Amino acid sequence: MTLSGLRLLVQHAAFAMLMYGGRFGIRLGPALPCFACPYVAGCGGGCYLMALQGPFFGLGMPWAAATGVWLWRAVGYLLFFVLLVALFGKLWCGWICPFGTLSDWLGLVRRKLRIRESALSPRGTTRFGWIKYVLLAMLVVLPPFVAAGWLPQDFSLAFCNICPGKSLLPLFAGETKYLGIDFTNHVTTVFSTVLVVVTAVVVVGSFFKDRFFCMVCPLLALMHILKPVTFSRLRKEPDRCTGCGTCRRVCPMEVEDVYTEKIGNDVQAGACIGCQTCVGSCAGDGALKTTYFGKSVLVSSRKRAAQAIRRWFW
Amino acid sequence: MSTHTNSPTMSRQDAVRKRAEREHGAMLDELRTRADYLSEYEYFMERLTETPAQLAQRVAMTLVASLCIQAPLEIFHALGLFSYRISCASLVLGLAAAPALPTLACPLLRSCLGMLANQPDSAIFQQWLIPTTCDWVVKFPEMARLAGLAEPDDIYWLELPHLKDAAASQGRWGAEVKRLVRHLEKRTGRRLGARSLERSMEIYQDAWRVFTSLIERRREGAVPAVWFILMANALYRDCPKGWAEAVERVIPRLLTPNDRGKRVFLAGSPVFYPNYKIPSLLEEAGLRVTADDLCSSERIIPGAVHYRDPSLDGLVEALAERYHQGCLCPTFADNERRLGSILSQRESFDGVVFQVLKGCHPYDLESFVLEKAMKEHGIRFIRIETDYAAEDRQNILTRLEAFRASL
Amino acid sequence: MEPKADPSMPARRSRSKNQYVILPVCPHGDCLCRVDTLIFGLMMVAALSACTPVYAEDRTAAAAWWLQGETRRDDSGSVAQHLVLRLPPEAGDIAEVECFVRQAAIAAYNQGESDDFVSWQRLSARRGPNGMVSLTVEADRYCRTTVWATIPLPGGVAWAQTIFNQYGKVAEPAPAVAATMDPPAFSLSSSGEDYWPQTGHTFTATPGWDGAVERIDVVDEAGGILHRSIDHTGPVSYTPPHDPALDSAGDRAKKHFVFLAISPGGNETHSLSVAVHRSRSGNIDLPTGLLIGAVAMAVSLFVAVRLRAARAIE
Repeated sequence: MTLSGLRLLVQHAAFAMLMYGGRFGIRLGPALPCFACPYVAGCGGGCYLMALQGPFFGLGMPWAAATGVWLWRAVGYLLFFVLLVALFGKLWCGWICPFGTLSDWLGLVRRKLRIRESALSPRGTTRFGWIKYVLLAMLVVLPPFVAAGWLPQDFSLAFCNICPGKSLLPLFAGETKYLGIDFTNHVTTVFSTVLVVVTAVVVVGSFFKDRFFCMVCPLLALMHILKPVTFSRLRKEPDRCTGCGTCRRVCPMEVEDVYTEKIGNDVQAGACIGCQTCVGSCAGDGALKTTYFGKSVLVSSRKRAAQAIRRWFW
Repeated sequence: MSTHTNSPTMSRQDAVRKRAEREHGAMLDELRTRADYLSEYEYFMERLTETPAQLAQRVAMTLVASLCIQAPLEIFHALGLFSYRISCASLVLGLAAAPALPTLACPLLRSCLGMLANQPDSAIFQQWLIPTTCDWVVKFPEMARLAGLAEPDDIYWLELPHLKDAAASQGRWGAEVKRLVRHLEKRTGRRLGARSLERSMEIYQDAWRVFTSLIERRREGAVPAVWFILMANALYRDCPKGWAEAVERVIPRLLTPNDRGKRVFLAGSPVFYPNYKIPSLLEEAGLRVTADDLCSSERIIPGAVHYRDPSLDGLVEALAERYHQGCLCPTFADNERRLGSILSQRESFDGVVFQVLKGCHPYDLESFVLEKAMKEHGIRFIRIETDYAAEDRQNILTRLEAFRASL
Repeated sequence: MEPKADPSMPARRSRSKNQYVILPVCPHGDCLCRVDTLIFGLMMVAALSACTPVYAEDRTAAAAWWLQGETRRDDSGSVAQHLVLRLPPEAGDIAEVECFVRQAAIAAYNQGESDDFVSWQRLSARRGPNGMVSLTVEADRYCRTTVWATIPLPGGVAWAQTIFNQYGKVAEPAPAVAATMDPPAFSLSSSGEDYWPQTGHTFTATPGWDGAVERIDVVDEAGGILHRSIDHTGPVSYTPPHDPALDSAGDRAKKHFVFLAISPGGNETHSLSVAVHRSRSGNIDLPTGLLIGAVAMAVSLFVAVRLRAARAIE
């Protein structure tokens, strides 16, 4: 089985498990480092961003109640999240995230139609990428304000209220209501309108550009911040690289670092989603490798590159 | 195309052709009498001894003459054109072209000029597609025109940026290849479609896959230098499918030696049929070539062309990038990454043999850079400068034997 | 034999008491005059019109119901739900009210109750310094809690019941107390999520005790009639309407309505109070959302196509 075939299998199994697993008793908890949306009825686990913002075991807890078991529970979920990130790193993004899989389906439609992919310039990509840090700041700053009563309670779960995962993923469980405008009050009206607009932009963007939303995903930002504790690494031996540019060309996030690096070994960029396509496509023997606890688990080889991706699929 | 307005007399051409045939014949005899000869190699020998006219008749396609390896083969294939890489390393034909060129000219291009000048039908090429690689290649069409072999309209330049890493250069080459596509479409009256281009890419990808298997065997020491280069040279003399099938027939017949002996990495100027002086001298010196990065050998196909965007633009850009950035020719100013092709194979060889054709300045200069880098990595290195004449065979052999002893 | 008429007294006709009342004020004595009729009629009207409020006042005043207050979280992980018992005037200054509490484990994903854990306890609601009778029910695990209060009244009894979910998280929760208690209970079902009752959902209360029920009304927190059931023998359904004040007060705000079952004669009342939050989906306008989404998609498509770099083959 080729590497891309294995990735397809894992992505779809993860999609089924995270979207429908709850109906069969699969409960992976609310601290998953991927967009496993809790708004999907019967989901197999929850995205940590909701837990992080939430009033139950997150930054939205009432300050007075953030003590004892409740505080430890919040800390426990955070540590569990960190452990999951440490264990699997960016594989959560490229191999498991259901929203990522959904983006890949949209990209597949574009490919089937043989429509040219759009791309931002490298500078544009970098600038656009800063949005993920702005969203991460919003995720972290707003909930305590809500908990303190300085913002209306409708600002609770502010990121979830504009996240396209909330509107798109429940569609696969037959729930369409999050595509509507919530006229309950002014705040909900604005939030739901923003959500619908963001959803539309992300759908169009994901059609024209692979993994469009991943460019601005705050989970990716969070995972990059946790990079020092991650057990897996993407490493390059610059001596073995001929600069053919394949790694950059096959990268859905158009990461340049792997291609441009000529001296150092660590080439895991912030925008990397851990799809392993670069390692699988690199024809330089030993030029790129994914390591786990320092041991190589995937090493580039001419043989695999020649066998790989006979027909593009993903 | 052109007419021979200033061509040599028929008797002189005949004499040159006869001498060239004797040279080929001698080479073929030498090959057929080798101990490791296999009947499966006949295919490659037949391809390399075919004239362009015979080839055009056999494949029933329009021939486009090309030099070097930067113009993507798949585009020609998809448009129903046959890219005939002018590559002839004949001493006889080179001498025949001597009056038309400076004394210290590139032996390879001198030989190519001689080959073209003495072809019965040089008009077989509908067009000449010349990337602006080294100075000799850039000037070659003018020399050809001087010899009455080509008209200005027949020559299409591909302006190759001599930087690989710079984004602007990469963009210019992409635009250049796209311009080539439009030009070929106009000349052929055909439209290049994404599907047909992708099919052509798959055919070359299949050929590359087979070639990779052959390379794997070579790393094990199972493929003699001469035969490997012979097989690689023949890629430009047949459709890739037929070539791949022929290579696949050879692979199961190869034997892995018990003792691989001293293994070397061959780098430097391209080695073409019929002049296999260097590879045969390496064999004679007891050195087994297990890897190389010659544009006439292992780099004959640029490698796997991976792409994410199967639209026509995406495919053409992927090809352009691969043929540009994957090329290790010293004509590029920022070519330091070519070291990677050697260092990534360091487990497969004991030393590097760098052979330079006299007059090949880019490779000549690069040899100094490479020597220093190899010393820094503790890899033994030897530089051989030669041409197609046989006078220096013993000298080179002695040096190679001494090199082998030092490994 | 008819009594002899006394010539010294004005003549009056006495009729049977089943016919009509002869008032001594009539100057005409024994005739059915228009003044008689008028006064009689006025008195009837006064009596009848006084009946209704007096009748209703008697019904609601004789009933008690729970109001759910705030939830408090303890450091140990237990949660406490504060309840206030609204008593009728007939209860007087009762200082203590006997209560029954049933706690049953919640099935995963709030899908109703599970049989794993059912515990009963007897508590007392007490009158506090503020004059209110209140009760605090603690839970150290996830459970669905039902509370009954039984209030003895002159000539009868009032039962008050309420149901709510609690999400305690003590590390080692106390074991179940399997006591045999069988208070008269309503069963409650909802057309929506029963763990988060909302306006717009239809709630059906079914009396589950032996004993006649004359009628089941639905009243608000103050006792105002919201709905009078027509069929008083079976389950009663009520759909609390959306409330703009509740809509603006945040997702956690709640208000109550009460199912009130009255026995024939009115000496026994049973109440089931339901705390509802604002509707999470009732104000969602899907068509408007889809329209806005379509417009946003069209604009995004236009921008994406226009901004695509002119990289096409020329």
